[in-house]
Amino acid sequence: MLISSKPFALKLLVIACVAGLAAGCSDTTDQASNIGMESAAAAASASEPRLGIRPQGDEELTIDMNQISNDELKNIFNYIDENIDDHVVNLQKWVQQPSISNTGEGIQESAYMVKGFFDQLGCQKTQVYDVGITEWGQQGNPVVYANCDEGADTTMVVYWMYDTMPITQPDLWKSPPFEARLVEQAPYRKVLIGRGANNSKGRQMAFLNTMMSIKAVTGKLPMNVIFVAEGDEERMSIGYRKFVREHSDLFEGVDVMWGGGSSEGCVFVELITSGEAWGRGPTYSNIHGGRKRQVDAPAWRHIKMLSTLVDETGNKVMIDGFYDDIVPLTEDEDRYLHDLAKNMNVDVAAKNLGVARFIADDPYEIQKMARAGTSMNLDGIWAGNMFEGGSGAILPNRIVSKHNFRYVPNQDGMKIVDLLRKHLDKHGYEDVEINIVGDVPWARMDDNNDLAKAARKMRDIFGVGSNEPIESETILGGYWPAYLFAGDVLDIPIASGQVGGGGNSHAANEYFIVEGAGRTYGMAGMEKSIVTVIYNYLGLNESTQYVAAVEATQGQL
Amino acid sequence: MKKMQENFGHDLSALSIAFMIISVAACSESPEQDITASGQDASSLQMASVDIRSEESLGIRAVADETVDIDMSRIYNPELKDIFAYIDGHIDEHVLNLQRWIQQPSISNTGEGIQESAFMVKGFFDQLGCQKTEVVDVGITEWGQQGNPVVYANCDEGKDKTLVLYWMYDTMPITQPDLWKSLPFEGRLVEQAPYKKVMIGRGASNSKGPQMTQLNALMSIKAVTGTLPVNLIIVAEGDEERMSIGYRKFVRDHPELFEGADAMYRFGGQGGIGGGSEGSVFVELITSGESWGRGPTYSNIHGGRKRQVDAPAWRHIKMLSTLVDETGNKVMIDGFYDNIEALTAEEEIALRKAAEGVDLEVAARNLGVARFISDDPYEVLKMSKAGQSINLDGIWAGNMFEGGSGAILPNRIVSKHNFRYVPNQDGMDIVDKLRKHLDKHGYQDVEINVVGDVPWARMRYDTEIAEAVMLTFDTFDLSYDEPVPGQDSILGGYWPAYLFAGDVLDIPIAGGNAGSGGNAHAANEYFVIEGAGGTYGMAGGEKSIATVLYNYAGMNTPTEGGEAK
Repeated sequence: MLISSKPFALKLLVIACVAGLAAGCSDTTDQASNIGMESAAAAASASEPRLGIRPQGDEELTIDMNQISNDELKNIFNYIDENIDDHVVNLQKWVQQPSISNTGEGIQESAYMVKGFFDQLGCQKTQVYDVGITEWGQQGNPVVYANCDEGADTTMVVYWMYDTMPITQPDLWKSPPFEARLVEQAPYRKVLIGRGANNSKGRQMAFLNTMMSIKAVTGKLPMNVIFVAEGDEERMSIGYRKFVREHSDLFEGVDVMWGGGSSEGCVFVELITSGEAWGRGPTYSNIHGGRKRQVDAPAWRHIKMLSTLVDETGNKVMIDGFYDDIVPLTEDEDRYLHDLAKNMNVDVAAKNLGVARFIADDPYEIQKMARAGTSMNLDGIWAGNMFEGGSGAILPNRIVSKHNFRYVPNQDGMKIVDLLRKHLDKHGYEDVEINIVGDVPWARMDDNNDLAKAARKMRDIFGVGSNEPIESETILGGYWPAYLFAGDVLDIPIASGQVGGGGNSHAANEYFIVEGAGRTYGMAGMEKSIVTVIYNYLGLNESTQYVAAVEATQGQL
Repeated sequence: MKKMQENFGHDLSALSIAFMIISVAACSESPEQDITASGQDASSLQMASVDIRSEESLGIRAVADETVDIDMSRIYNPELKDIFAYIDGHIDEHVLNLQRWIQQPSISNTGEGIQESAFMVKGFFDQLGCQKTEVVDVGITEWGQQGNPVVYANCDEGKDKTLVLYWMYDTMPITQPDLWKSLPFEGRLVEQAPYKKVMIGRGASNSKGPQMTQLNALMSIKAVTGTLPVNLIIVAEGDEERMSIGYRKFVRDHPELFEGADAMYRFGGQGGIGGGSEGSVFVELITSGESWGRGPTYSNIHGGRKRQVDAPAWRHIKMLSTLVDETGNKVMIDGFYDNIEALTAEEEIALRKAAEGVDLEVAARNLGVARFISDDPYEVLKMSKAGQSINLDGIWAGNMFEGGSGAILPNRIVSKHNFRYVPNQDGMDIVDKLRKHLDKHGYQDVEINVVGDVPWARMRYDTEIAEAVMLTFDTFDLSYDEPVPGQDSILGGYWPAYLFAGDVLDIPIAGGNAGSGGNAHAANEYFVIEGAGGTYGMAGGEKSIATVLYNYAGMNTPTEGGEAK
């Protein structure tokens, strides 16, 4: 890794130290901190700044420049190409700062780092908000808010999350999760490996890089922007929920949101069985496992309890009434899923996702499950002796498991929790505690609004194509906390669109595609697509302007 | 946490240990205030310890608040009286010896401090003056894991009898650091009613306290008399919490190192006479997407994918739920309860007699449980001394950050299980039956990883070593469960007895001494330093061990006492 300026080198040295500390606590190998040191050394010695990123990589697609009518856009494209190394370094630096909401690691630092991004962009108001204790009892992580008034007619809210998932399997990473190493990963010559690379620092940094590029080229943004960056997305957006509900005034006059569109619902609970609550088994701490002969086991009770919640396949929820209230898909939605299924290669999809196979073998069924399915997951479980290979005998006093329910209209998160409570009581598990981490309701909305149309037009220009949209309101957009701007507090159109991407969210070796290949764009392409969507949306990429621009150019000649 | 401990495992200075403790606390979400306060205490206490050794004292009362005392009319040999006085005069140092040992982690489940501990223990035996002391690398063991070093010492005092001392220098890991009232590797002395001083620390009770009590007693005997009443062979394993896998290999590979051994004396407490052992086989059950052919194969994936992807973790739960009945107390594996021999009439009588004095509420409180499976003291005692079980010792997968909601669909889930079994069940037969059970229920893909097996061992107590222990208990006014008379029995509690009870050697074994501790494998493990009521402190424990050895050597008879030494 080659890095440009000396100030940055110093910064990286600090970051390397932070990474070293993190390695100590998160099971990362020693190699991680060594590599951090090497990076710092490389940075210190390198006076010439070239990562050598190829903006077009090995992409087989090209942007149809005939449809790029505004010269500003062309200049911005050029600027992006010329500065792509810096843009990738920006992402590297962000990935190198852990921001793990499930543990708190780096959250405060990250909030101020993100505030700094918005300061750099020139937003007049930037603020880190302490949201206090949230609805389900936990302290929320800070929300970063920025208001960038460009005196424009249109105001766009941009949704960000600055938190990432924790590291659960450090030994499975091919490069340390907070190093942000660029590696070859076929078919891509360069992807960036790191926690948060895809979810969601990669595309957010691409957005910021795009805004910075627009500003560098044109001196201003073509719209007013309000950023809201939460630090609790992996904690059911508990702080974001409170912030938006309490500060609707901060979003007055907004026209549209740059975000994920409609969303399914998700409620997340922890189930806790303990000797203390049960009145049997160990009460204060784990005790000796040899005592199982004469002492009851809360852990076995938990297993028996859990086994009542799903059928033998683990795929059907056995809670009475769970599937009630589900509204069937509309014909249009069904058609949309069939469209998606047409282009799906199930084997490739399974391989890309890192699974042996899907529950079903029929692409349509898989699409339906993925976009409109319901589920109860076992996200995690722990108790007692967790040292693999050891035999230290322990009878745990307490066992915890985590579960996210995915639900659809007209299921309700809190009703699901009630049904779960009733199920546990009915089966004799009155003592098992349900701890609600949080609930994110589904958001049904029109996924074919003007911003979405601008994105579709961009996809045509960039040659990636898109399916016919659903003309009515739907939830088929994928999970994210859409609801607060989709009727709960505000009710505005939401969409976004960019080419490029990454993978392995919530998995080991999370990555972001830096140099594209085949039909997938890299980071430069992503940034260009973002600015194209925005110009499309604002009507700044119409052919009339193209004509005017051409005339102006000819005049100069 | 595992890796972190390893990182710090090589630092031996007090300062490093203090830092290590702070770091442990930092990663385990203890309140910051406690971290700082305790960390500073830890280091200052250690620094103070050095000073204390040169001048000041811990002020340990050798005879504290005990209501029992030694019947000195049965201490015939004046050497013993001198040894008792020596112990009383050096009890501060003896307690510091234990503190320093506890401050050296020795966690076989993670490897932390194991190598350092092996050489520390070798040093103990060098100090004792044993002619041969050795740290032996046992290599790869029967079930595939590298064994931890065995420390062997041979102390030839030119005496008639040779006693083998069994030691374990490993301890359990720390699983719930936030539940400890003082740091697990500090070895702090605290008041804990009814005791004015107990030492808190991992290994305090299991088993550094009892073993250091032995060593202090041996050092005292040697300081006073210049020799020991018996020859000793000491074998210290570092795998007791890994099913004694290295010890098994060592003893089987080196029977010649135990030639001429007359009996084995094992450390213990004043709860009773030990020797025999139930059996235990320990397995891990592993379900993964890779072997199932469904679900995530390489790593965890996003938990939102549960809608379209199968879950190895749910499969594991369904699988586990077939292994026990609704109560979690009955094993549902076909044939598991076959081959169990009924208790003999004598064993029943022994259990009934032992049950007479049991107050279940007090026993439950001391053990840290709400209640026992049964409310009948006899049933509870029978379960604990002759029962069988499958335990769920641990389980882990996916997101283990309490309060977080990061959605994960785990690719792999592991649970740990120890089976306790009795004559004539067989550990490997139980594993076979478990395999058949899993296959029968459609879980052919679930992997069984055998960590190790420690077979049961029957022992008789009409032996010289057992009689020496019982005589000592009588002299120290300690009641004890009557061992099963006239026959061998497993009643005695789990430990790797079998290697000296028929497997490699076949010699009498007994254990027991004054003194006590608690919370083995639990938070706040402790060892009683200053006794109270019917429980002796560390000094009493050391005196009882000296007495056992003199009794066993035939050097504490009225005749012996008559001879002025």
